[in-house]
Amino acid sequence: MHELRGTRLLIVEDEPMLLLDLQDITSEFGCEIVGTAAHLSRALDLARSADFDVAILDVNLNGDRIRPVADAIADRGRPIVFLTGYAGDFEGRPNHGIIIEKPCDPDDIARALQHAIGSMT
Amino acid sequence: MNKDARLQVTEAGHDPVVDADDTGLAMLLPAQKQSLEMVVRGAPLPEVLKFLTGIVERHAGGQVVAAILLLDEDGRLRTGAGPSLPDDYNRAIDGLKASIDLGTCSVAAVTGQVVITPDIAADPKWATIKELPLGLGLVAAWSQPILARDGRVLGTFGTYFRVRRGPTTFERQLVETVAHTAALAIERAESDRSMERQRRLLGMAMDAARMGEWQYNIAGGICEYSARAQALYSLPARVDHDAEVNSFIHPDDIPSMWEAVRAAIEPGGSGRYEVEYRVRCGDGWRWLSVCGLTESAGEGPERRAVAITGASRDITERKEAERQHQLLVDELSHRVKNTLAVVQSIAAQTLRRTPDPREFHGAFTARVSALARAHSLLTRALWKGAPLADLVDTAISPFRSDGRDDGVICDGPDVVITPNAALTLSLVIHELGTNALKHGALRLPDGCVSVTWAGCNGAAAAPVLELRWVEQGVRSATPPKQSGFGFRLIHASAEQLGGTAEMEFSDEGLRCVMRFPCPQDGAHDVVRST
Repeated sequence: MHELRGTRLLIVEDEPMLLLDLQDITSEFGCEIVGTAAHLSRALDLARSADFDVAILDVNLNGDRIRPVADAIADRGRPIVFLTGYAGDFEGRPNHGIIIEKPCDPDDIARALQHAIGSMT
Repeated sequence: MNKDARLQVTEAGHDPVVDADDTGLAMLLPAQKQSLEMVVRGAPLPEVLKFLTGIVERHAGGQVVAAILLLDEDGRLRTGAGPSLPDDYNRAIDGLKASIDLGTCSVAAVTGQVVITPDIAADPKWATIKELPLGLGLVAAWSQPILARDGRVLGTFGTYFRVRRGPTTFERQLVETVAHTAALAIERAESDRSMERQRRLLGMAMDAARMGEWQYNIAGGICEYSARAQALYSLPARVDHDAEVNSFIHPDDIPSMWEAVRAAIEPGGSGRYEVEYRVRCGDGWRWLSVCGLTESAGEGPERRAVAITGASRDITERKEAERQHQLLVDELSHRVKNTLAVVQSIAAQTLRRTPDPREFHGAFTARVSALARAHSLLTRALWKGAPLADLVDTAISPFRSDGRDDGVICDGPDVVITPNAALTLSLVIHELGTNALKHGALRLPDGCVSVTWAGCNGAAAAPVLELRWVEQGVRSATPPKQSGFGFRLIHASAEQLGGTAEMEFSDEGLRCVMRFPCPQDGAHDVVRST
């Protein structure tokens, strides 16, 4: 298992309450949150420019599918953890990345982050 | 021929059979041939029957008048042909119930036998209607029943004389011959009518079911389409199916179509062809449900499927309804999971700040209730959006203290906000209200909160809404922590709404201003919300 302490995170989540919770949970893991986004345009900017080790992406961002953001992150070779309220697979999922379904607990998130980082090293 | 049509003489004393003349019958041959040709090429029945009466009128002795009556399904006499009778006469007879007690033809129609009336004036069966023929100088009549192959009476061939007499042997042979041709013509017309009725029935049923029929020839790979099927497929009557299928069936559906064909023509199989596929329809696609049966030819090991014949049905509307239904089911599931995730986060966030179980329970329940009230409001509006005034009023209602109506003032224009914005703002207002009750204006007897909103478009193209929370009468208090839950939630909420939040704390109390774009169309697609 990979140590999450010091891992730099990009979090894209449009539900404020979930975003706060994800920030708190990952902070407790020792992660450093380098950026958060609730909208596609800001998410795309951060995906292309922010310095992060792994991204947590809400699959459905205010009705905008996350695919372009995921592609931008994949282009940079960074791992992704997808958060989805949909059952099973979803439209536009890239062939990498780990999916966790909402609602999820901190252990799910920790495991997913560790797998995502492990998959890229 | 009507060999068993026996002679019936209605009045004694007259010998109806005078003489026979075979040469006369031989002269009939060209006319007989012509009438049969008319029947074969499907000439209209009145035209054929008129021609047949003409033969008799030309060839019978003296100035006779010939008329054909048809017997309908209700046993009524109908004018078949009576070209030498006035319209009044034909109209008077048309529709009479065939009866054994009436006239000549009527009796022949009921009995199926030849009936001869040498003196109409003296015949009691003519008593009620004798003026009709007598007025035209027609004083005698005889009638030859026209019989179908199965012996059923189709009608009668009537001949009227201008002198009191019965038919000659020649006339009997003449009319018997012509009546036989009439029988062929009438049966042909009946069969045409029946086919037409069935065709129309089938056509209406096919139209009602939005179906079109086709036949696929397996060896040639050719498919032929009826007019209805041509409309469904947007194709001509005959198509090289195997060569052109890629141009009209949706590429994703072609494999299942071929699989259905393979299953249908498999030896020993059911022979049934059943598949659903999309065909090109203008710029889009039309869903068809397609059923067919395999036709085979040959015996034993040589037996082969030669064609599939069937019909296709337009099911585009059903498919669209199914798709909508699935979208709603998926959306509902998504919404439930998202809501559970939000509730889970509320629990976690509440527990971080209020670890005491009793306090936790109160705070957690209050936040979930705020969310639940917003859900109720949205459900009443079918999740199309919520009036901001209703939302604010609902969210703030727990903080209105008993017997003090002036503590909270809400005011603003009629604005409908999206479901997402409604859920988010309900939690924001709940946090602001909770904070005001614990630390701010609502803790004090003369404290007051005003929640107001207004459009503040400025240069922006999209309408921007400004929501202000202003507390008054706090005097001195400690400002809340910037890192506190309320502050973070309000900023995260503003970001979700694509806007900004400003919070300042003065001696009067907290001021919070949120600005965010607010689509004004009022109709928000349920499926697009998160």
